[in-house]
Amino acid sequence: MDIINSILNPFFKILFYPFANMSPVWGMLVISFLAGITMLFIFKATSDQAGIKKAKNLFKAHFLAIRLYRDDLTLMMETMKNIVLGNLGYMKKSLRPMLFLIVPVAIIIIQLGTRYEYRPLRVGETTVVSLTLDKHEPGSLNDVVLELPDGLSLDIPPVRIDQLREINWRIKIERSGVFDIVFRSDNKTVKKRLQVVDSLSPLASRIARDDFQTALLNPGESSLQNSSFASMVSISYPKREFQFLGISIHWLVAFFVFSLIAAFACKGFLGVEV
Amino acid sequence: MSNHRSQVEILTIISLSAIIASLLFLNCNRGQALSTSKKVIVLGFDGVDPQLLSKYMAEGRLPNFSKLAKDGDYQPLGTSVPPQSPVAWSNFITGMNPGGHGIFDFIHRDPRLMIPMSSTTKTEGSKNTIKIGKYTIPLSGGTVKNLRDGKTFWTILEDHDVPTTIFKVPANFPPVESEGKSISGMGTPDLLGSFGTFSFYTDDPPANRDDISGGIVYPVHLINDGFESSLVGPKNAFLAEEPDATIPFKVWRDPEYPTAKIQILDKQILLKEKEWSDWIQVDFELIPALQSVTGICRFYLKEVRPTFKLYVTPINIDPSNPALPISTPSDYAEELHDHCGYFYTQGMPEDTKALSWGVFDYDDFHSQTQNVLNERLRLFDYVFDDFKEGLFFFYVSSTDLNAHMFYNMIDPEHPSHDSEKAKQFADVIPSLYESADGIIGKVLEKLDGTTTLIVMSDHGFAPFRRAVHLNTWLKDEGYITLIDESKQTEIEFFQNVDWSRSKAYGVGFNGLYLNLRGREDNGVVNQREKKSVLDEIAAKLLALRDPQNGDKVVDRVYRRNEIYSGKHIENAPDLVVGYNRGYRASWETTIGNFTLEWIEDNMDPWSGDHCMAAELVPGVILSNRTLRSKDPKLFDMAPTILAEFGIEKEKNMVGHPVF
Repeated sequence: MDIINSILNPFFKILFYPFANMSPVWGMLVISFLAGITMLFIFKATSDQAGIKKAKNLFKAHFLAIRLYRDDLTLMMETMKNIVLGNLGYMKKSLRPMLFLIVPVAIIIIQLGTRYEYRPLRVGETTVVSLTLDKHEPGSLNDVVLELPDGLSLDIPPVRIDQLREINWRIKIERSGVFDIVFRSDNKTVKKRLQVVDSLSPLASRIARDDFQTALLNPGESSLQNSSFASMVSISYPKREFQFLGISIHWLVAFFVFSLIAAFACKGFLGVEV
Repeated sequence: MSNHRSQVEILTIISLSAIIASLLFLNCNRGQALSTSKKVIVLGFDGVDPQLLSKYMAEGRLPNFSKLAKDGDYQPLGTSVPPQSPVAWSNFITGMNPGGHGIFDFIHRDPRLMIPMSSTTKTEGSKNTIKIGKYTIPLSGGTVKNLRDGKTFWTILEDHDVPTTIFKVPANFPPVESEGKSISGMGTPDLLGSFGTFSFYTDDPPANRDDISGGIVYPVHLINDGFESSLVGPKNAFLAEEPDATIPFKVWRDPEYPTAKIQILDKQILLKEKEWSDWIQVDFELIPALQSVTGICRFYLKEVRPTFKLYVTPINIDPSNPALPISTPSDYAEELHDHCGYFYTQGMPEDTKALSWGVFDYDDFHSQTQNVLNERLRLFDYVFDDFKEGLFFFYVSSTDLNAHMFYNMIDPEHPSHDSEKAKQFADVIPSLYESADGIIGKVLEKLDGTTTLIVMSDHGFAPFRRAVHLNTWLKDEGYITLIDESKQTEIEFFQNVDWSRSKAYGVGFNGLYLNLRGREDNGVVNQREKKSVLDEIAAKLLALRDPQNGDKVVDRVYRRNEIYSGKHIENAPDLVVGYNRGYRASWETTIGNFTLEWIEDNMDPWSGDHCMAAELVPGVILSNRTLRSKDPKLFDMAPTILAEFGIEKEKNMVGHPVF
């Protein structure tokens, strides 16, 4: 997964670069717009455009029949049946392009998620950093040492949970920057990035060892090495509140709405039958 | 093609216009100086006492109070009868006495059921429901009714196009319909529907945990330094048996350090001993994926070891997504949250019950009340900055509830006075007066020549050294007969009273009612006897002496026809007992419970009070204008504010403008 991420990350980094220091709304608007157009092209290339056009024309004819022959019950019922069958046929024609769309849409959503699900930390805030010791690691929680760079400080003594092989620290943010927190156990080290920035940056709330799902959903940072003494390291970033025109909406809803608006607005002059 | 193009263009123009409009809206400058149109600013500091205020002013601790008194005016402000906050603030709001607005005490009673009940609000569930499986789906909303009658002065102002901002005035839940900005204050419940129920998780629960009111103690067992428990939320009315909605959470403590981790929903909280978490939003699921209700709470890690003690505040209504109406317009609470963060929405946020029952010590209570005060000061900065014209009212509760709990620190004669503790906490009350002084200072900085500033309190304060069990006294005097004398202290809420042989009873902090035939369900006193029984009880009360020191226990006894007027007078107590300074009705007697002795030392940390004779505990009024009235009263405030805007008072208002 890390290899795929290393290919995709630079591409999305370039894509988001112009909006990094703007309001998060602009990045979402433009990326959603581009995603909507891209989805249109994929749909056009992978669907039976003539068949879809024919199915839609048939719909129009059936609806016209309903208006013209509303007094003829038998014909009405027949037309209704044809509409249902036509609908099923239309859905069948949409299935193939949908399958082609799943992967690129998922990639876009994951990349958006790393930027819009959480926001970077701010100066003066605190966060919880947790490390889970790998189950095969012979050392104990007491052997793990946290090394903080300038700009971060330990707020209170840690909470060690033997039962979960987990150790938790509360870290206070003293200045902005991108920091590497180092965890040391014997001679081994593990690093985790912590971001205190104003820009729209990809955040990895957790990194893990041998965990496909964590690597998939946190593309912003590489997974832990197989030799690592930790199986997981996480940082509690605050949830980002996404607002559009003063209204709070979930970023995923915003993405689907914006991309659909873009797709429907452009389908005419791009000549795509949807 | 041209059609498509024009559609795209229109969409683009609409989107861009909307974006530009929103950016302009979001960036509009809020921090300007007050404009020059007529403005009235009223700062309500609950319970600020003229004796204490004059003392601290003389000590030079309150420069802004002193400046206001010197440049304008300062007088005692006649309080309500009885001097209780919901009654007093209702007088303030309506310009009427309790006979007009119908609030006579914190606690009223239903003469049919003889059960004590809240005087300020009434809640009713949905009348129409439908059952689907185990779920009961309401077809209409439930209602919460504000029982205070009478038009509020700010709705009269709005009728005359005067903009208003009303911040947490007591006795305004749910807030009256208003075109202005308002948020409800005292009387606003927590998410459980109570006036504040804390949760306390400990591995060493106190022996009296079942007696504790205002909170619930949950015993926990730590295994490997961790435990699982649940945060208990509101009743789930969607289920037939209405079980509590709950949210599970886990806690682990460090094996060595005084720290702990709390995992609730998707939130991780790390706390050290004696530390508060931020507000946490909690979402109680009522119907999976369909219906939930959100609240907010804070965790306080009181002790990690040897005993584990975790306190959780009452679950407050979430201002960012209120489950009940707490503001006008309805999104004003959300606006406050967006600019100031989460804040206590419950009416009486200072957790006095936690201190009274020993869940808090004075340090804990002080830190909790500081949280409340700091939030209130933050909200003041935003709300006052937002005020441009019309009426501005801002309420502070800290001066009242802290005086209740810290009075024994400044009263060496109090039976619970501890000179060691007093060294640490004697400065709490004066410090709060200094905070109030700071608020006045911020207002004075922005005051212009057209603005009237009124600083006022609803009542003063006095020591509460001795608790009077009025119902026990009535029983001893033969006015109440019990069904089973041997269970005098065991059975609560008048359930042991033989009403067929009882002539009078006390409900609330000052109310005394006759068991009147035709009014009470089992009334025995007829109209002919009424006057003589009342005269007899009043004479005995006025003659009552404290067996400990010979002091008068009751200073005045008021008859309702002498002090009240208005359409609710029939609901008033027959007598209002005005206790002497140092004396107050006991907690037990207010809700119809009995004790063995009729008077005893008050050892509760709730050591100061004002539910006494009104003349002994006046409030204060200060203004930048000179007062024409030599005897201003609380119910004069509404006519005064109206007069400042050139508006005549309503006919049913009994007060008069003081300027």
